[in-house]
Amino acid sequence: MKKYISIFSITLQEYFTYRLNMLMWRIRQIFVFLIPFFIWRAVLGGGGDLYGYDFAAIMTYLFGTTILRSLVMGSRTVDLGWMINSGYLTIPLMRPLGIFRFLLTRDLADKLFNLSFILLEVPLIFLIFKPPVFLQSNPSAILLFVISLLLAALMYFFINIIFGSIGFWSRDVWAPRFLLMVILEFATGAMFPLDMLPTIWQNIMLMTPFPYLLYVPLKIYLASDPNLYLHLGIQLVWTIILFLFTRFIWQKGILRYEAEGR
Amino acid sequence: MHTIIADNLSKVYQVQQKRQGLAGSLKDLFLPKYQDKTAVNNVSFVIDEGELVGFIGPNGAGKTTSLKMLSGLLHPSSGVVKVLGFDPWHRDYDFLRSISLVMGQKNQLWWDLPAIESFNLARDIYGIKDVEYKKNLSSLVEMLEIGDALNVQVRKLSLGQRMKAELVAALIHSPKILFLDEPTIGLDVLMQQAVRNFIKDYNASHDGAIILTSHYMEDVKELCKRVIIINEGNIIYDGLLSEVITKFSSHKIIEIILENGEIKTQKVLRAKVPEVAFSVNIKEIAIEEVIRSVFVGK
Repeated sequence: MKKYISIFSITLQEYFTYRLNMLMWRIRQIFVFLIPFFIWRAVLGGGGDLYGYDFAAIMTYLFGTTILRSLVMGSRTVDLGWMINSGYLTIPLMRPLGIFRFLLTRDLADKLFNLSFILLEVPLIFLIFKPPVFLQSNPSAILLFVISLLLAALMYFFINIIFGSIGFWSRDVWAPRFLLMVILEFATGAMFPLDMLPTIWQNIMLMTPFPYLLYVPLKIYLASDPNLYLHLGIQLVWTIILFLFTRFIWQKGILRYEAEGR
Repeated sequence: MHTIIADNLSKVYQVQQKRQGLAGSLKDLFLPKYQDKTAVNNVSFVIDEGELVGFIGPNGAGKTTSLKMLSGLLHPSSGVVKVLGFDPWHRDYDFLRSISLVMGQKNQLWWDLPAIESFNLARDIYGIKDVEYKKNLSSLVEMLEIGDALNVQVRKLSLGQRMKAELVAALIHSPKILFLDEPTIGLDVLMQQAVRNFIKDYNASHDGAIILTSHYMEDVKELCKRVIIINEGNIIYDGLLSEVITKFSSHKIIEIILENGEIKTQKVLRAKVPEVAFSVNIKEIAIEEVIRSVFVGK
């Protein structure tokens, strides 16, 4: 256990070496909130509603996805493809470490880092834009939300390993990554609530793993998911499928690892 | 039991063949052509406790690929490897704790942090006890003379200092088996000597075995009694370094010092050299030259 704590702390230490980088990244996070904020204010700021969402409701939603995003999608495993192609993966492989545990530890460090900044930024955004915030007080809703959040973080972790493992077969790890990023932008519900879509599209989307990263956990937090247990169940199934697939693809890929450049 | 056993070890890489020109590149896009490239071909050898063996051969001969298979980084295409009784590929923690792979060309230190942070991390990862850690660290730091570099960001260190710090990070857990791939590459002569002395001391003061690859004949001459010469994936010699010359060179050099101090040299077939030659120096051909000619295929 001590080894992972040590990796956790050194990962964080490394972040603090690049102060400007850190600052810029935080500013980016604020923009991630600001862009949809202004779009939606232009659409709904004058009153009225759209697919059942008025301005206040949509702001609550966006405020929620902004926070969830940095917890679920804060990750270091995104550089796995690079680690494979550059041969950097050799270092953890040659140490008595569980490679998945090593990657997960770095992810957790990233999430903690994000969380600590959220605690600074959220009050700031709140003071400036005063979005209506919904504080969930029902303990069972909070518990279900936390479970869903943990599963979401795991799902994203596995998705990153799967996409990173492309590096075992190909040097083109960036193109698939960009494709994934574009899909994630809308399919997770980061830009708009997915229940704005026609029911049929909603149902199709809910078959894929993506809405379970942001949309479903947030809906569970807001206690506005009528099919809560069904969705939690699907989320659990997806987590297991992604885990099995991750393990499968990793075991295939690692046989091909060539430790190039090292 | 042997410390390291390699039995009919092979590694075949799939390499994409690039066609020429733009049309070729387009074709590659739809119908990539792959070719098998044998990096290591049915290699067998054993290494025993206490040995310091040199792998020599030109670039691309398969030295590094062999080391990577011995350390469990690469999955052999065929054949069997056993190191300390372990199958390296499984990367058992007990196995990983007993070996270290040092690659001269790349580093494992955390680039943005002082070297000491990487050492402390290694302590926790390998689960080294504090007393032992302090003892190992101070003896390594002393042997390599890098006490003043410990608290400097790794990126600010000179290449030589960094290589030494790499060695500390790689050896802090007192591995039994050391795989050193070009440990002196890019270092100046003084630093090369320092690293060589260190390797020699380490071998003398620790159990286990060391395998070293190097392009510098000096490294091999000074450190290794036994060498394994690899060319195009095949072992072409495995034995004492001192016997390489007699095996591969058919000639000796006869040197005649004339009265005026001028030196005349003549290459003579080994068999034709007289057994006793008065006031004649008979010298071997330099090992660098012998090995070079081995690779040229003479």
